[in-house]
Amino acid sequence: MHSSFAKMIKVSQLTKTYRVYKKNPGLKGTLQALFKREWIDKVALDHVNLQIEPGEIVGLVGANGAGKTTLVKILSGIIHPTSGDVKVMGYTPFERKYAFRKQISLIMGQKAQLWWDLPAEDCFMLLKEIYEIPEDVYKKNLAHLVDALDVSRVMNIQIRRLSLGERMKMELIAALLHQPKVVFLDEPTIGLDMTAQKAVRDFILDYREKHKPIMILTSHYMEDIKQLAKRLVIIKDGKFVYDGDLDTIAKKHHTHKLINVTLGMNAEIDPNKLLLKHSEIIQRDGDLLKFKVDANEVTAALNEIFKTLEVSDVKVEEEDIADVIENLMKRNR
Amino acid sequence: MKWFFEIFIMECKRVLSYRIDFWLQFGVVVCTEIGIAYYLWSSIFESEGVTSISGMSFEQILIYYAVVPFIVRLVKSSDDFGISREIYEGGINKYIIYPVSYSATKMIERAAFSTMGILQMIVGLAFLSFFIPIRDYLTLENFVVTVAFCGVSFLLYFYMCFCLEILAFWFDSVWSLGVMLRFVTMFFGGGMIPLAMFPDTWQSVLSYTPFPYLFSMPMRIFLGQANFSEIFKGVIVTSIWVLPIAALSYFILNRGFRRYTGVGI
Repeated sequence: MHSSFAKMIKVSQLTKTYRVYKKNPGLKGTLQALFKREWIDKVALDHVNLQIEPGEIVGLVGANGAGKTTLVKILSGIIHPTSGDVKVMGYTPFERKYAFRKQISLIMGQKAQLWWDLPAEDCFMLLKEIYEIPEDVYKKNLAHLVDALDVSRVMNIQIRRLSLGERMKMELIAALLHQPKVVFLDEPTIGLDMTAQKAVRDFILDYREKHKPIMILTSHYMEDIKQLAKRLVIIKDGKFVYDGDLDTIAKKHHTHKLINVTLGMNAEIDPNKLLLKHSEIIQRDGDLLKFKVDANEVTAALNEIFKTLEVSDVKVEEEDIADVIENLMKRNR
Repeated sequence: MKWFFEIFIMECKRVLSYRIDFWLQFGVVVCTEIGIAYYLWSSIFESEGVTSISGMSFEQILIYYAVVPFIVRLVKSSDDFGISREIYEGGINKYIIYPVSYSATKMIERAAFSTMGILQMIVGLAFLSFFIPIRDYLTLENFVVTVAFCGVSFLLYFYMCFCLEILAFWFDSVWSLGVMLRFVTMFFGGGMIPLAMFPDTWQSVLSYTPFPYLFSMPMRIFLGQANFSEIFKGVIVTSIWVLPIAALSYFILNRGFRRYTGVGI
């Protein structure tokens, strides 16, 4: 029944509303809440539609409270939707069938899933039994993952005694031991230093290349999204404001371009005193100046710069994708 | 189904990984209870000028208070609001993601904790037998049947506790309810005072409730006060109580999952 839906996610008109109570501040509010509570409905997802094809990596981006984690929770079966349809590999996630759960995994950067008091190796042994992984497959997968993440030295140390980076690597191993077909990554690099972030990203990319699972990634680090995701979904107030290819988002939605100017050797004009009509200086480093310019006024801005400054080199480039996404989110406020 | 066994082993490892806590915490509880019982009941016996109260001699009462903490430990296991805490803090999420039954997992974890209690019980009783005449009452057969009956009592207490803790899906705090459950089960179950000291009417009423089968019945078996038919009846009655309470817990759990908001991520 489920083979034709394998590795596919379909979401239609999905809505999730949380019911929360409002409490007035102070002692009076606390006493009032003892007798009467005012409930309000908070819409976390508002009739969203989504389809994900096999092998896709989708980056979910949005401000805190935008609804991205709610979407992950619904897709992974942790919570029930209020209305709408959701199918993951043909299964309804909130029914939480074992066959479904055996094919997914969820990595939460802010929440440890492994057993805190035990060494990673013991945790992995338990997961081997939980996911009913054959002995030879388990040994092969574990050896590969441990080697790829370089954690063999700390396999016998209690999880609680590992560094954040090491713990995250163990969480990754735990989540991928059974070779899931759908992987949910919720802030997988949060709190990690740059080296550990890169190691985790490289590992995820490598895993994705080899096993081609669907990956749904939420992260506040744009570098994660840029490096890992091919497709981007931007969520704002429970609605999708963009759903499309990451590479084309800048072309479609860019509002500005960047002009990098290298001043000539004998340039005497103080750029700080420049009042340019078509561009603004956003960075200066010695002879290097960076201008931000409206995308429709690049030619005019270049003319102005050439007229005003002694330029030895100039380069026009696209606005950083992180800024594009941020602008896109602001525009929909 | 081998994961049942692995979770059991894992929990045993976890309990044993805190060696000092494992021995000290329980030692303190037992010693405190015996100390209080000794001074309290010796003064009662002296002031009343009697040799037995409700058919129990001072020696039997002392043995009761020496053994009942071990029985309570086996039956109640790690009754530490862990389930409600997992609901409040999102620790339950991993059990929703992993292909395992949440209630079964929690039951196995607590069963493992209780099983480690048998080790404490053996060592503890061996130690206490130098000071209290436990050996006069204890036979290997009684010990084995007591531990086996504790297994049935454990199931009963687990589901009572589980039903209450999963109310955390609805309520912001179930701590007070948990304290009430602890008090009621300890008081009416014979964990605080031997039920033989309750008025006859009370004892008669209590016999229709699940409470006497939690701690009182295992204690009676340990002290050699229960015959085979009473034990057999105890197993049947306890099992009859377990079934509806377990069914109720599954019902509450399923309803609770519908309300769950997945806190913690």
